[in-house]
Formats: sequence, structure tokens, C-alpha cells
Amino acid sequence: MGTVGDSIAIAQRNTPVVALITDRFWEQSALVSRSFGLADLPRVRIPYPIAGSGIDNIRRVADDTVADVLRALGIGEL
Amino acid sequence: MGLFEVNDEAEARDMLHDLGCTDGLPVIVPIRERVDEMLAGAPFIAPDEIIGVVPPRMGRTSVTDVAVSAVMAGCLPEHFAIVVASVRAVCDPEFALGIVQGTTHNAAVLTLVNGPARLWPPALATATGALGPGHRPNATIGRALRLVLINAGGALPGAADMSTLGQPAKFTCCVAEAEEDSPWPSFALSRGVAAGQSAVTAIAVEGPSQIMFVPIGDSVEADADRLVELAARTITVPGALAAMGYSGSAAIALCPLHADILAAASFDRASFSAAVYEQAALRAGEIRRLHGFIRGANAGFDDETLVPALASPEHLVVFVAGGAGTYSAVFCGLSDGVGNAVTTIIDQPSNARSLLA
Repeated sequence: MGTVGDSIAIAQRNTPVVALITDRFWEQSALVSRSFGLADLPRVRIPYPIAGSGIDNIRRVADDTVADVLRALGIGEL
Repeated sequence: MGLFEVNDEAEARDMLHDLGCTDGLPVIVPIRERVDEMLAGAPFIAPDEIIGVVPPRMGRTSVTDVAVSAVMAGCLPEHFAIVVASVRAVCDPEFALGIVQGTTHNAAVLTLVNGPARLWPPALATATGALGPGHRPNATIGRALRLVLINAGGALPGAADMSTLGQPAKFTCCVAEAEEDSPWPSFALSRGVAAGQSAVTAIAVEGPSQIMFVPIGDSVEADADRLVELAARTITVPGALAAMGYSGSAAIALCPLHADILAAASFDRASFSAAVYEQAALRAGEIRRLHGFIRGANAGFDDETLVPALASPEHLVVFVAGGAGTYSAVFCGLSDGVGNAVTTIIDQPSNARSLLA
């Protein structure tokens, strides 16, 4: 709820945003974004868990995710 | 909620469960006649009035929608106005219900009833075992609120309610203050509610932890000071969200014996809350040792600085409840701005006194 809520608040300021959602929270994030009238809120799925998984894992997830984030922002490959 | 046709009551109960409309326990099927009867319990509230928008599904919830959940919970029409007020309380934007509903924390909603509505027959339990089983008004009022959170808000586990473990108080958690056994004016009066009015206070809480304290009797002040410290240290249990740096809210249910000990030492509700607030703190170094870092606005504190578990003395809900014995209870709350206490007035008929006759 917090991540999606923050993302919606950013989107409502016309600032590009992508919500990074761990897979365990994917369905809830869809429900919340629909409820707030932003069903097309850009979201990117990342593996659960992230918290406490260590800096190496977070770097790996970032590397694996950056292309999806760029696509979600409509930027495409850099 | 729509209308469905089924062959019998048992099929209807199963269907409601399969649709995700229950808390897992059997419900009373909300046929039209029962819903109308529930609404008739509070004819002074308009059935089509929108009580609130319940996140995260953002369901616009009318009085009739609340009546449906109240019927399902087994609520009596006499208590319907209390349920409506409870829903109003949690839908107040200050309660931040969206976060309370969706968090991985085990937040339940404790509702505290004050005023004449407690005595609308059958009266709510205030004394022995008031937070436990066996008291239909308490059990069903709290359950009705939970069913509203599920049906209007979509708060089913794993769908929108992402609580890692949940907790039993998510089924129901409603109590009335033992105003007649309290040495102090009611909690609602301390919130600005006028005498003679009824009110519900909602606060998001973890499960209760007991405070067992037998007074020694060496001096009233010494006994009261021990009780204050015990309450403060029970709030600062180091695994609680508010105690690990978020500095939020809490509730304390004082048994009458403990409340009398405090009053004998000249504590009133405000000075007790202030004293607990002062002592309910962990050293920043202790939090860092246990959690690795400090969350929230207190992150930059040096190790010797005390990090308060409560955002302010007013973030502590202190009420008197329970029967004979030496056990009070602490409910740790959430962070500042999330699920902190909200008090709403219970609509009541102008002839409320006649209900007590």
C-alpha cells in the first residue's frame, strides 16, 4: 500500500514514476492502483524478499530490472 | 453488495464464504428482512447516507451496507448505531485506514465505547473478561466492523490485507469503558466529547500484553510509580513497531484496582499519560543493537539519546476496564499518523434515556 500510494501521489503531480513491487505484493498493488483510478500505474515486478537480502543481491536485482523500468517509463533501451 | 437467490440458509452461508465476504466464521445470512430490522435499530440514521470510503478497494459504504455486515456478524439492532460510529471513526482520513488495512504489520482495530450507548440493553461488557469471549455486544460490534473492512475495503488476507501473520484481535476487538468503576471522568470526555453523549474511539493496535502488578502498600506514591514504570516498559517491548523508532501510539486498559492506585497517588488520566510518555523510551544504541538501524524520524539520534515509543502523551489511549484482579493490559500501536486514535460521536435518539429504562 505504501509503495503504490506514494507512486500514485507522484503520478498525480505529473511526475514519471515506476512502482517496484515484490512478487508477493503484486496482486495487492494491482488492487490498490485500480482502486485509486490508476490501473495503468507503471509497475515492475521484482523478486521477494528484497529487505535484508544483501547489497550484492540488490545490485543483481537492479541490473535485472533496469530495462523493465526504462520500458515502463517509455524510454526504451539507453 | 448485490442480491442472490439460493435454496437455503446453509447454501447462502457457504456462498458468502466462497465469495470472500466473511471472516472465516459462519455468518448470519443478511436477507432483506434482517437488514431492515438492523436499520430499524437506529431509525435516526438515514439508510442511504454514505458513511465513508473504505480502502484499499475504496468501496463507498452506505448505512445499509454497514447493516448488511452487522447482520452477518450477529449484531443486535440495538447496537447498530455503535457499529456505524465505529465505521465512521476508521474512515476518518486521520486514521489512515489504507495503510492499516494493507500493512504487513498485524494491526487490528480496537474500538472503545463510552457514554450511555454502553448501557443500551443488552449492555456492553466493561468488567470481568470484557475483552474476551462470551459478551455478544462486544463480540459482534467488533466483528461487524471487521466485516465492513473485508467487504467494503477488500481486506482479505493475501489480497489486500498483507499482514504477515495477522492476529486474533482482527476478528473482533471492542470494549466499553468501565466508567462506573473508574476514578476519572470517561476517556471520551478527555477527547472533548460532551457529557451525556456517546462515542467510539478507534485505534490500530497489536495484541494486548498484560501488566501484572500487585501493590505492596509501602506508600501510594511508590505503588503508583511502579505501575507507571511497568506500563512504560511494556509499551517499549523492543519488537514493537512504535518502540523501534517510529514513535507512535498505544492504548492501556487499566483494571479498576490499578486505576484506583494511580488516583490515590493523585494521578489523573493526563498526568499518567505524561508520566508513561516520559518513561516509554529506548536508548538509540539499544535499538541499533537489536535492529541494526533506527527507522523513522529518529534515525540520526546518538546512541545515548532516548527514543520515545509514543509520539506524544496524547497518543496514549488510557481507559478503565476489567473486573477484580491485578491485571491491566497494553496494546502497542503503530507509527505517528497511522491508526492513531480517532473518536466519533455515536448518533443516538433524542429519547435515549427511555432506552435505559
